[in-house]
Amino acid sequence: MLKITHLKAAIEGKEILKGIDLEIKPGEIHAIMGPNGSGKSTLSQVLAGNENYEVTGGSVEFLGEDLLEKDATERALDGIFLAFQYPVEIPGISNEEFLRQAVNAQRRHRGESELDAFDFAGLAKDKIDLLQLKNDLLERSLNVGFSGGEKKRNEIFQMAMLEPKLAVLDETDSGLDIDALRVVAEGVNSLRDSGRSFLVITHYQRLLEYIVPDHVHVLSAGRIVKSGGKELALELEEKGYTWLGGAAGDLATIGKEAS
Amino acid sequence: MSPFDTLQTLITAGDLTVPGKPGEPAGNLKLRQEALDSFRRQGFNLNGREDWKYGNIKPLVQGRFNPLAKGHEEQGDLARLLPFTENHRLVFVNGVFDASLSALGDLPEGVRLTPLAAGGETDLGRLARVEHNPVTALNTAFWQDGLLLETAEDARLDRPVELFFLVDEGGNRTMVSPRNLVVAGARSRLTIIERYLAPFTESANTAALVAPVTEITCGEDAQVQHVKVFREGRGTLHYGSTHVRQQAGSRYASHEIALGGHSLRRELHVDLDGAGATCDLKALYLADGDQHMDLRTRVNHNVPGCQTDELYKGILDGRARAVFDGLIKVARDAQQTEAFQTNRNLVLSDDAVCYSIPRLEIYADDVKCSHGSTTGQMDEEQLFFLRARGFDDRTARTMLTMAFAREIIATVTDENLAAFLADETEERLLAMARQDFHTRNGES
Repeated sequence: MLKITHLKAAIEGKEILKGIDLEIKPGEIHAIMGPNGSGKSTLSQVLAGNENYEVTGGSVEFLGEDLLEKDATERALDGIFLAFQYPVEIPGISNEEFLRQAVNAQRRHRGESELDAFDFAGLAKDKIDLLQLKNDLLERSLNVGFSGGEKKRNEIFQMAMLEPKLAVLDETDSGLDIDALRVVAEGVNSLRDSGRSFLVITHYQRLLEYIVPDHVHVLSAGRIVKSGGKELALELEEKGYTWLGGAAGDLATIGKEAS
Repeated sequence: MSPFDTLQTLITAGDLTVPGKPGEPAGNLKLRQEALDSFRRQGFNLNGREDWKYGNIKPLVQGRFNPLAKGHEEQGDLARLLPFTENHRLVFVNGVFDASLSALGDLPEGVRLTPLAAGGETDLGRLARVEHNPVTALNTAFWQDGLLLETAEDARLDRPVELFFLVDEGGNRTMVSPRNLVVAGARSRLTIIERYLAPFTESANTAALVAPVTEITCGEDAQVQHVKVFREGRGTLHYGSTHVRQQAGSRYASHEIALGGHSLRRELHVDLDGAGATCDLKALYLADGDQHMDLRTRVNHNVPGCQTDELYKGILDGRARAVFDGLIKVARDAQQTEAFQTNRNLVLSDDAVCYSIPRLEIYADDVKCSHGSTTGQMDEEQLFFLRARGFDDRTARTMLTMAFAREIIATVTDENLAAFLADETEERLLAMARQDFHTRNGES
């Protein structure tokens, strides 16, 4: 599904990603862990097509096509979804208006018929309940007046409505208490299927107790320094990033401070 | 003297007399004559004046308009411009009342609603002073007609009074001077909607000067909502003003929605003369191409315990120019004043220019006041978020621009009008986006 080869990327002339190799097959969940400043968020932004980041080398293939040739809009329509670490607030655009149009843009792109307001509301209802969002969510302006946890759950709600092929979750767990974390994880797990892949980016192991990954990679100073199965996350939790030594160790902080 | 001289030449050099109507009260005629004399003294001598800084003076000075507009002969298809509503409706074409297009409707007890020209002796000119504004002087000398609305104590108008000021082909090269007078009695409630349309002036070689003046007195605890929609064609000059006096406990809510015209200047003067009066002033202006929009507000807190809440928002594209100049003046005695003034501008092109001058002058020492101004481009983070959800760049930009505008439109309480404004605004923004697209692709 996704094949990243020797990917290098820079922002404002500073190289952040220094050669990433990663392959995600359909239905797999990969977790990327790493200390602050290791390039986790850069990777997610680059995959989503943020033009503030300059790709300086390597290639990314998504569903057999060159991803880097496409702009953010095309990538989204092709099925890449980024759950933002810091979801934006947009006063004056309601969740309903925004999401129905987004869903219909996807459906048009896939050659499917558009959803009318009733179809949309029906589809949204279950997912709003699943993510324990308030019933007036759809009428409210996008993320305006939402708590941190609500914003993150709203990202997962959008993901559930848009049904992407590859979802990139950028520190979706940050700022969530344990109950909200469970709700988010449940939302993600409900979407797992053999055709859908996830790239879960996190600082802490905790999220991976609820969203169990097939593969775990440790990112440090712009490179993947270690890959393994789900047990790698536990090992990291126990020993901290210092255990990996070198660049990763220097930046080490692991999530004991998580509440 | 040619009817195609500039206004200044026409009036200062000519032997023009004021257009008194048969049977017009002597007081009105006197007011007209004084205003004409005042204009003859002032002329359009506006260069270097602080209150006209960044204003578009040239079209006034050089424009050739006949101030003695005649109304219209053929009704044509003007009716199609009027929405079907239950509102009390008064329609004026080229300044002249058109009974066949109007529908005054049934009026509640204690409400007097009539064209001003048929209204007899009134308190006209108490609030709109002619000395310092030549356009107000011209209006006061030459006004053709407009609204006279008087409400008795406790009277309540459930439906809005909707005024349409239309300019058709017959108004080409004329100065149209609507004049409105509203006197809201104590505890009365009313809504006035002023709508300006001049569809024929979409082409560049037709032109009209629309110069309206509205005076409103809000009695004690009266509630007045006042919506003004400027949607004239690109050949129209619009230079108008609103003058409001508020007595104790009254509430005045104003919306100014500027979508059209070649050059538009609006002045809003509010005097808070009674304790506990509040005014809520909102505006949205959309300017593109070569449009010039100039919005001025003056609020005087003359007594203690009054409130002003002001939010003016503008969207600029193309080579448009916009001016926001707002002054809230808090007199020495006006303790416990609360006054907030905000101007926000969204600038979509490199060539558009915005002059934002928010001002507070405070002479009292126990007040809560703030003012602020922001002028900027589209928020890149919001834009990327929408694109990452599958919206193309153009759609995302239009959505964000619309969202910016909606903050103002959403506060218009008349549902029909709010829906109309949302549609109009969206249409304008889409047209702006198309224009922008063509320009970027070198097609324009």
